[in-house]
Amino acid sequence: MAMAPPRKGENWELRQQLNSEYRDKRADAIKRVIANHTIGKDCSGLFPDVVKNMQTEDLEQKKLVYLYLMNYAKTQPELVILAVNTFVKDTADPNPLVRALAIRTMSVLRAEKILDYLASPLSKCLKDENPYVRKTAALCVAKVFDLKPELCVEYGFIETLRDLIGDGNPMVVANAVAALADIHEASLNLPPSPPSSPGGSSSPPPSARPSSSLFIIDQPTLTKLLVALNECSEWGRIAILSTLARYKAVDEKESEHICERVVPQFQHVNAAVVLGAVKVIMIHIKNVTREDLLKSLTRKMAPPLVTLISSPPEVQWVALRNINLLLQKRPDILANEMRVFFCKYNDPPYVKVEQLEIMVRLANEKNVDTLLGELKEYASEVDVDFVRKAVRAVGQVAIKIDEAAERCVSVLMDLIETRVSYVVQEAVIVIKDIFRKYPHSYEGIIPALCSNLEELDEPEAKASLIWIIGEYAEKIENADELLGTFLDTFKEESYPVQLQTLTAIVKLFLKKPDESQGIVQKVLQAATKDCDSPDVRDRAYIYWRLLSSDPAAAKSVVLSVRPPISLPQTTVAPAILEELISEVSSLASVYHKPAATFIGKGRLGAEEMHRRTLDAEEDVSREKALQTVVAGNQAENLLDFDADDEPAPTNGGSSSRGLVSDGVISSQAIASVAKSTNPLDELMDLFSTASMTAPSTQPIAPPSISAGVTGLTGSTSAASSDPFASLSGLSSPPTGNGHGIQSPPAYQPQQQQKQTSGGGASDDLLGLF
Amino acid sequence: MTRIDGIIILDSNGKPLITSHFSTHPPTYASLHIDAFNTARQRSSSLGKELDPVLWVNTLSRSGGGMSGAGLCHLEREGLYFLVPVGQEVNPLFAFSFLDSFLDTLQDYLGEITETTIKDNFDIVYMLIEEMLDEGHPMTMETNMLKEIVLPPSLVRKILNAAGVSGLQTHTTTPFTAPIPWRRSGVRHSTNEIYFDIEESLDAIVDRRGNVLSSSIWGRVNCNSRLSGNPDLLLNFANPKVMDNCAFHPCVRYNKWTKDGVLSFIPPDGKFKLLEYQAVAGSSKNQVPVALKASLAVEENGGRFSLTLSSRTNARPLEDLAISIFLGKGTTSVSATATGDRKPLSHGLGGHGVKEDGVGEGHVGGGTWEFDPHTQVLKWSLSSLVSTERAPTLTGSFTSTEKQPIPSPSFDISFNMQHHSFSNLRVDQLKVQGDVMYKPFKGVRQMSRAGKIEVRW
Repeated sequence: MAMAPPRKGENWELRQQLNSEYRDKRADAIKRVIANHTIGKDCSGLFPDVVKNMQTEDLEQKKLVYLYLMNYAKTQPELVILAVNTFVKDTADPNPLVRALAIRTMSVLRAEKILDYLASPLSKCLKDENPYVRKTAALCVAKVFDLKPELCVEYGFIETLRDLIGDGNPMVVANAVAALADIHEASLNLPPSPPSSPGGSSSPPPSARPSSSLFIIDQPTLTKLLVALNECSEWGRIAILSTLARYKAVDEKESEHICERVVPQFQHVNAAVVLGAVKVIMIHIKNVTREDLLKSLTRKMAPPLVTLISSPPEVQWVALRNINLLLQKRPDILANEMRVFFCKYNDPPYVKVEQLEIMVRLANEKNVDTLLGELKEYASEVDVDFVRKAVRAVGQVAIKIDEAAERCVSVLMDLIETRVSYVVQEAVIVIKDIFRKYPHSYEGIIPALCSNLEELDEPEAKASLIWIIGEYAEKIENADELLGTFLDTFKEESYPVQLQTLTAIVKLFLKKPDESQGIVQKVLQAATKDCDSPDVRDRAYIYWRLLSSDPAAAKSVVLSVRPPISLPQTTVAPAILEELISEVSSLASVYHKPAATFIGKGRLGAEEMHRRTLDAEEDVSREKALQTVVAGNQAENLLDFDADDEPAPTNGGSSSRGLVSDGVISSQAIASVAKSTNPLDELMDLFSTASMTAPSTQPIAPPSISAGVTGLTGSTSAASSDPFASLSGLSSPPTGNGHGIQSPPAYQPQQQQKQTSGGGASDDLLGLF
Repeated sequence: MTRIDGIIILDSNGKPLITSHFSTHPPTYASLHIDAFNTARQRSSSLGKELDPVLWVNTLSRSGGGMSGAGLCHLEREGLYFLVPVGQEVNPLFAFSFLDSFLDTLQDYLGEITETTIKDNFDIVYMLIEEMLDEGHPMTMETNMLKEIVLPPSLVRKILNAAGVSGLQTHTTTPFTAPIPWRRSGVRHSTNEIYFDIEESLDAIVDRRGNVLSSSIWGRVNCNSRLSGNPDLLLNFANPKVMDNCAFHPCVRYNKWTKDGVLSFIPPDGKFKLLEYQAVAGSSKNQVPVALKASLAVEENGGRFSLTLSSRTNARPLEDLAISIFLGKGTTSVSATATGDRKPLSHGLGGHGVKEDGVGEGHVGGGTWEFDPHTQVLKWSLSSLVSTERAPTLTGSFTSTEKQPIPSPSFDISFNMQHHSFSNLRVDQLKVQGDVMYKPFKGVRQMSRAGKIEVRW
């Protein structure tokens, strides 16, 4: 600790006053010392002078001196011993407040020397007649354990604590539970043999290190806890509830019992108690099989959550995050409550965004009209982010509910007519998703879309429109003209737009070969000669090769039928959802990522660490990385990733000819993306895809590395940095095998491209290099 | 598990007023959080956004080496920022609940929470925190009990201190021996009285055709108990069925409620929140008692508007009505006329013209309106409105430096209705049992107000 040079004048003056013969002067000086401390000034130099004032009849002054000691004992460990006598004397004071204060201060000092003097007064105080002293002493045990666990064992403090769970005073019970929970956690962190550095502030998953748990909840304890639950203060209830969440019920009956006893806690005024109770129920409900109980529990869970929505915005936000999570697990709990989540203009944006997500989750055929009306309303607001999310929500509804798709499209067309730039762009992106889900259903709107061509200036919107033009090139008379405009500015466009232009023109050529010979030549030239992105260049080479060697194959690859997309049920992977559900009400549920990824030390790999450092730099990227961690796919970015494709790599991997190890590819993809400093946003999104495929592929793939390596890095990263790569990649249908092309029966874009480049285009590539 | 790291109070500029409870953390721990918070706040305010209520802060871990992190829960009150870092997997609502009751207590002790009151009474605030938190565990949270331990600042005490007399501790020497955690023992009042305030608020969204899109009524019963001894109360409602999703103070015996629909409890001494509820949705109950017909047309560099307000309820007059709307960035001035039945207003009659600087203010029979050029909010206030009077109107126009001004898509309405409850909840009777020999004075008051009501145009 760097000691700032003390301002001589003030400290000197204080020292004089602390040693003054007048009591009020000394009292005043102590206050000033504390005042200086509270604003962060270093007052450690005054230690001996303050300690002199310990012995006083004035309780208030004593408190302030003790406060000072708590904060500075660490800096002056030798001098602390001066205070011990007074401490020990105070632990036997007739005034319980003084007794409690003394015992508490002693345990906070964190000085080994003091601890030796603490043990016997502490065991006395644990059995004090006054509940205030007992409850203070209970917490002291946890602190002592943190510093010197063997002392607690030696004096049997932990057994005493366990006895205190049966204490007559609920507040003592609450503190005993809290202390035991702390000790339990600290004991998990203890290194196996020498307890050198007890961390005490993290909780590794029990599976990670089976430990000598010191707080085993047995059935008698459980009974005591359940009884105390209804008598405690709200804070005690929170402690008990979080302990109950940890308890593993022996049989179904016990789970039922716990649920029944905990349910009344839903009726508590304190939001933290409510959410804590929800957590306990969510954990123990897993063991409940009785249909009626299950139903009644699910029914009872929703209302208290809804009540939290009337709370101040920060509580509301936490509640909404949790509701969002619970809905992914149990979509039925709030089926009729969508209106509660309607956004008000003046709600804080973070609340509105959550409400929007929940509304989409609750959408069904019955309420979809109301919902669309609302969403249209939101799209006219000022907050650009929120408006975009509202437009996206319209698209999500369209994909979720088939019957409503048409109405959604007409809402989107209305929105496009507003000509507000960001609304139009977002709507175009969304419509692209709708075209993917319902191909050839809404071709009538294409002219209207194309008329907005020049208003688009964002890459994603541009790319979306280009994709649409490419898809429906045969229906659009002037498709070559439209695409030509993009070709003219090819070099200035961003990579996703370049990639999409390339693909769209190739599609156009395949559909109308006579009219577009020239344009396809031009784009292939531009992409291979003038483009500095290896992804674009490689893809151009692949197309070129395909087109020149076997147009039929090219057709079957580029123009194949894609699997329709669907709205992911969850924003996080199912396994992680399960884990998050059991962490409902905690930080993890707010971040929607498992606690192990952000709490705790030393258990994370370097890569994780690196990622977390990056996270701090930007909230946005944190959000993204968060999704990366959970490897979930983003509901908003439907094109990036298809839930349907998820199992595909496994099949593809096993049936592929094993030319190149898929596992290697995937992990390399991850590595390259993880290390990459490429600023592209999509990169992060796709990363989630890549890392998702990795674990499923690795075990199956033959561990061979072969010739394809040359083109490998380029093409994999091509696939991962561009959302549309998956589009064209997906074009490879299973029937593709029948044709004489080199492409193996691969379903996954990465593989598809890699294989093609590794096999078919390798001469070209090698020639190039 | 149920533990927070400490508490930090920042002034409006983000400078720390009080940081407490970080003695077990590295010395830089608190400042890291303060810096992270200030940086995040500046960045978000420059983007015109609001911060998420829980931030993520990277910190150095306690055992040294490697990075660790903590969630930072924060909220703003009276221009001050209250931060609670949580370094563990903790329910964030726990942190917010703690802050909430901490702020209530602070308010109780200091009267109002401002930079000055905190600075003047920092020793009290500090002692309070120490008493409320023991290494992040909540210790003594009930105001009733805290007052036995930490004496509130009072004039008498100030004088005594000034006179150099200290050590006058009048608290009992046996704290917490009371068997009921929320009630101190030996309460004595010369007059025994208890008051219940039934407060309801209505949240609603009304679309431009006047249909209620969504609405809910949130109610709470606040209680002020000044009863001696340990009275055991039994509160009967005439129509308990109108209450849904109740949340109770811990003193209420839950089983009795589920069985008989009555509230049986031994109250804490002083003011407390007895229960919260949501009124059961009914067809007529959720009707918004006021109708606003609004048209607003945006034109080049401005726009015009016309509002008509009418009461839909015969029950009670609507009081302190205010209709407000954000007119969009760049709005410079507003001119408008309000009409309505002329009635004696405290402000007098007749309109004022628009002042040179564009700050408008007018008084007419139809209430008053004002435009705040800093927040660009137009606010139309009426002291009262009954259904029988001619509907007051406000028509006018505004000018803006923006070519296409974008006003907020909805009007906010607020009002009060004294002696009325939306849900019609009524107290039937209150029985006092237990070891008391007096008949207390009982009072029940109803109050309804608009919560968040927005009417789209």
